[in-house]
Amino acid sequence: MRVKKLLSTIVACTLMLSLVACSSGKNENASQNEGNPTQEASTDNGSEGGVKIGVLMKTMSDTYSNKLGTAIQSYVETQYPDATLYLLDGQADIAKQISQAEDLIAKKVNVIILNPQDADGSAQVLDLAASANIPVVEVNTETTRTDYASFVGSEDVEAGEIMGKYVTEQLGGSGKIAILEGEMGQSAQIKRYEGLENTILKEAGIECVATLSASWSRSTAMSTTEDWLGKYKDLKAIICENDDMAMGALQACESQNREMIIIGTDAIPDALQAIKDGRLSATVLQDAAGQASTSVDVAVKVANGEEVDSRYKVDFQLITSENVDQYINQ
Amino acid sequence: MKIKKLNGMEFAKKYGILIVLIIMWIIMLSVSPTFRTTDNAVNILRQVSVNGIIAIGMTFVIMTGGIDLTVGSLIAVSGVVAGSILVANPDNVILAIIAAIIVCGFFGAINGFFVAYMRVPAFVATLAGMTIARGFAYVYSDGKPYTLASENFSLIGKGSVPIIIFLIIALISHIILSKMKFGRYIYATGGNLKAASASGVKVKAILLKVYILGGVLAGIAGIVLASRTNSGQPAVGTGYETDAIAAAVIGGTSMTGGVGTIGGTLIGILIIGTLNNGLNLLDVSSYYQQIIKGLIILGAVCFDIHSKGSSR
Repeated sequence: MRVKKLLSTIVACTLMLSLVACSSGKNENASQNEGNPTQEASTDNGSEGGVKIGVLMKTMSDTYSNKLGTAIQSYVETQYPDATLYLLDGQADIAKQISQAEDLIAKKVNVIILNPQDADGSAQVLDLAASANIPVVEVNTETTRTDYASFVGSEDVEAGEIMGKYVTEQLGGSGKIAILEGEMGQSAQIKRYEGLENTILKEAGIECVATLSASWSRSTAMSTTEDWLGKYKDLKAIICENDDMAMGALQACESQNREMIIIGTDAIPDALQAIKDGRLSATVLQDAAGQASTSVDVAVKVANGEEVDSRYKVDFQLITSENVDQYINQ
Repeated sequence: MKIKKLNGMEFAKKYGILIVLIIMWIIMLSVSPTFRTTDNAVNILRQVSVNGIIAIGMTFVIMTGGIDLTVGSLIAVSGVVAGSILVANPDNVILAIIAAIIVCGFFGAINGFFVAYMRVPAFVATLAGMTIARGFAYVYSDGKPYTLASENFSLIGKGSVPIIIFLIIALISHIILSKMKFGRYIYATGGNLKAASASGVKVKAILLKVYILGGVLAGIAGIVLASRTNSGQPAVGTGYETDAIAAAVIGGTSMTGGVGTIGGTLIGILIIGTLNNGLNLLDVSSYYQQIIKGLIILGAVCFDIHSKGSSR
């Protein structure tokens, strides 16, 4: 009995110690972060430099979001060395994103760059920021609201149209296709599908035999494609609303030695490499670097009270084996 | 005549859930030509192998009266640990596999320690473990997915290799449960912890071992998945624990412990796999798939309970 008590005490103490260790780590960070801007502000007198930029990423774990977040970080470091950046990873959880918005407001940032997790849910961030008089610049995805300072993104409809046109050309206007959709209800899914509806789904010669959601996920896309390959022996092309799903579809086709036109969107590194190796047909680049630099530039302008446009469009580009080399080491 | 009827009841009692699976297969075979192909059968087996491996671990844990919510997160932990090693050196396949399994086994041991020795309820202990393991996967990988380019590692997920791994694990687990002392102790611990303890079973050690086993199996499942998709992603595996729990419970494992078989879980995971595959083949839209899946799981378990009850 005594041993047991001793043991529980030891465990409890260890847990507490680790808690203290964790929180003290945070404190150090915070004081560092707080130290910088005041220093900067005193030297810069609130010019371009000492702005505090809060960034709410929906996640840092899907490949594209990671690229966008990293690009924002490195752009701020190189172009605005005096600025303080708080970049928070919402881990694909809307409740987390909202509480992180509250954290940023508590830190009194000058501007928030919002990469919404959810078109409706993330709109709350705008309310929270408005009540604290902090302007919000939305990047990549839009919320259902329009009272943001500015939106920097690419028109996802355009990505769908580029994919649709490319596959129509490759098929010579006739053949059977299937579509792998993203998480149903997200703006990227709805709009990329709209782009497909505007183009390939209108073609008389092309038959879309199946449309299913693989929720942006590589493993789900892989199993769904495996199911399709058994059923549709004459399937010619699979259009994927992102590259992770395209890579999953590719993996499934390769393991069954099936020739397939596969196209995705986002130009993630493995997709580019697969295009270079002649395995994947094409991808559409959603220009992460372009979105990152434009959104940071706009955010800094907004923070300094300058006029900005309400929308900035960053164009999509088609990447095939012909032009892949210029993107592969970007 | 009387004897024959009794046998029928006995059959339904013992094989209720198997009947559900067979009915599903008969329906699918009659409506979908694709379903009749061997390729599709192999396909289903390959798709259930990852979930099947964790469902077997889950069966052990549930049989002790516990539950293990960490397995979905451990799939991600396994993938990123193996991924980091393989990105550094694609030839270090064995090291990657061993490291991933050890790390996941360690997480299992932490679960087991808190459940067995600190007497934290399994739901709470493994719920905490779930978020800790998920956080660990993010911290370890810095949130970035690892892209794998190791030829040898990708063999694990190719062709029928995942199926063979799954079936070997199922066979070993079946032997452990039905033939070995450890298996009997698990039944005893789950059936009545105090009685087992009084009759000399070291229940705490048994619990610890069972949770370690759950972690190790999740680690193996994570490796198979990482190999299948050629990537180690920190966000992968969310919600996998629910399919594993569903498979075990459909297969007749009692949530209160003491009752369950590996064969039952195998049938459970095949029901889930057949459902996923069948709904895709029948072009059921993504929205309806979730509802139908839930209803069929509910119906299957009702049928099973009812067929058991009728002979009582």
